[in-house]
Amino acid sequence: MVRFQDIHLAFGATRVLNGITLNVKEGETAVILGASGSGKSTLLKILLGLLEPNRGEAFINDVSMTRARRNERVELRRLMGMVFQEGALFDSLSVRDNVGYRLVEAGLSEAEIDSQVAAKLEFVGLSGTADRMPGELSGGMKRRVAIARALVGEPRIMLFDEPTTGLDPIVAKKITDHINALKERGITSIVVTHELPYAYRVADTVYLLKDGEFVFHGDVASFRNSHDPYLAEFRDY
Amino acid sequence: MQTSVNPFSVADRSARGFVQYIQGVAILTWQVVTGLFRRPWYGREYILQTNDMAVASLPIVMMTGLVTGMVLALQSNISLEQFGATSMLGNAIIATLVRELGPIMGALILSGRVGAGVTSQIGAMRVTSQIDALLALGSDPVKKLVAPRVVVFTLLMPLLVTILCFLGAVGGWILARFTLNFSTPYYWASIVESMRFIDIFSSLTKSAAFGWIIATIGSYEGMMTQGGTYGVGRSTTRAVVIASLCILVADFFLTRLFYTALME
Repeated sequence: MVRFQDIHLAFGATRVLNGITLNVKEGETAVILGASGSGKSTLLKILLGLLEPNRGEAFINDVSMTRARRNERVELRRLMGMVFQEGALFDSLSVRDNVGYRLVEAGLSEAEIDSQVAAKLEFVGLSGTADRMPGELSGGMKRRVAIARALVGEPRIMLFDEPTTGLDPIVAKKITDHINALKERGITSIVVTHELPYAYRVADTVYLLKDGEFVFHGDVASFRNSHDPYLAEFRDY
Repeated sequence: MQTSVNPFSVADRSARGFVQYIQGVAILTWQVVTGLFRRPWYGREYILQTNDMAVASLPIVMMTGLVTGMVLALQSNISLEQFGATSMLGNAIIATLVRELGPIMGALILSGRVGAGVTSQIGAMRVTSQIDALLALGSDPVKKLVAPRVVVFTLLMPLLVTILCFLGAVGGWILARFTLNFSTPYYWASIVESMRFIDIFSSLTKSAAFGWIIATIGSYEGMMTQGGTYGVGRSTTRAVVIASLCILVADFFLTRLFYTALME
């Protein structure tokens, strides 16, 4: 469903990604772990076509996002929902207008927009917040509104960039519950994080990124039991 | 240890940077123009920007016009008195305002108010990933954010400058009537008489060009913002400085163009 093929990326003299290959199957939740600045979020941006790799390609359903033209990229992006770090909600729009953004663009009627927005807000447990502005929401609520916004349009692939960072354990658990609920619906997810407890809760497959390369790829049990020194340091710190 | 700086490499970097900047602005303009012919139209954004950029600028434009007209009346009267030509006061005020001072004063004042606003709004969206979020949602940030600002300000800047010039004439009249004891009908008749089509045309054209410069440079700097809130501040300063310089340079070339046309 999602494939990264030999991705290389450098910003000037700094090499960020160095031959990344990754395959995520339909319905799978892949968690990409790594230290801050290791290039995890960059991978998601490449998949969305927001960044061009120096070499290699990212595929969605075997269609290359990297080589896609502008219009094709827009179509490919419609298959995906992205939850950005901190939510990236539009400050000037209400929760209702944030969540219904895709629907307004698609030209749906107000009634249809209201109904779909209400359903998505109910899914993330935020019914009754539609008229509030992002500035009036807590960090956790913003993240959940961002999930609701990403889910509009029924994407088959969800991308989460540090979804639990900076949240208290109760809210963070709610977020992971939402990710698991999406898994039950058969949605493919890629979660980028450095928070292990939450990674363990959602992951089918774990990837560990170090110096632009994957130094581990396997299931949660193998990750927890590995004796690799870097892995152990990352895991047990 | 002191590091030596190669002046040629600095000049080379600056020249490349200049060319890249021009290229970036040209591409942005092309994207704005081509985007105007594709759906969705974002009508609401155009209305919002009309309010934010033009209607909200009215108080500062009116104040600038009024005060400039008063100062102009005072200064022109001193000069005209030396030649016994104080009857030309209305002509001098309106000619100066319409041909030069109206468009340039309006543009420089509004590059601070509107240009800085455009850069900080778009720049803040850039550094908080809201632009990336727009792209991820299948939207086009240039069509959604840049086009409404550029189109609205290019079209409405001539109207703002017209208001500024009118208020300038009113300011000149206040001073002429109540300080210099000018006759009101004579003042306004001299203003109407001295208006020429070429002056009005050049004023409106210059204003539209300055509006385009302010909105485009402001948007471009906003879209290129990097480095968090500090970066937003830096981009905003750059936008105002670059737009102001471009306005002055464009003013010279446009004035020369119209002056040549007038002479022919």
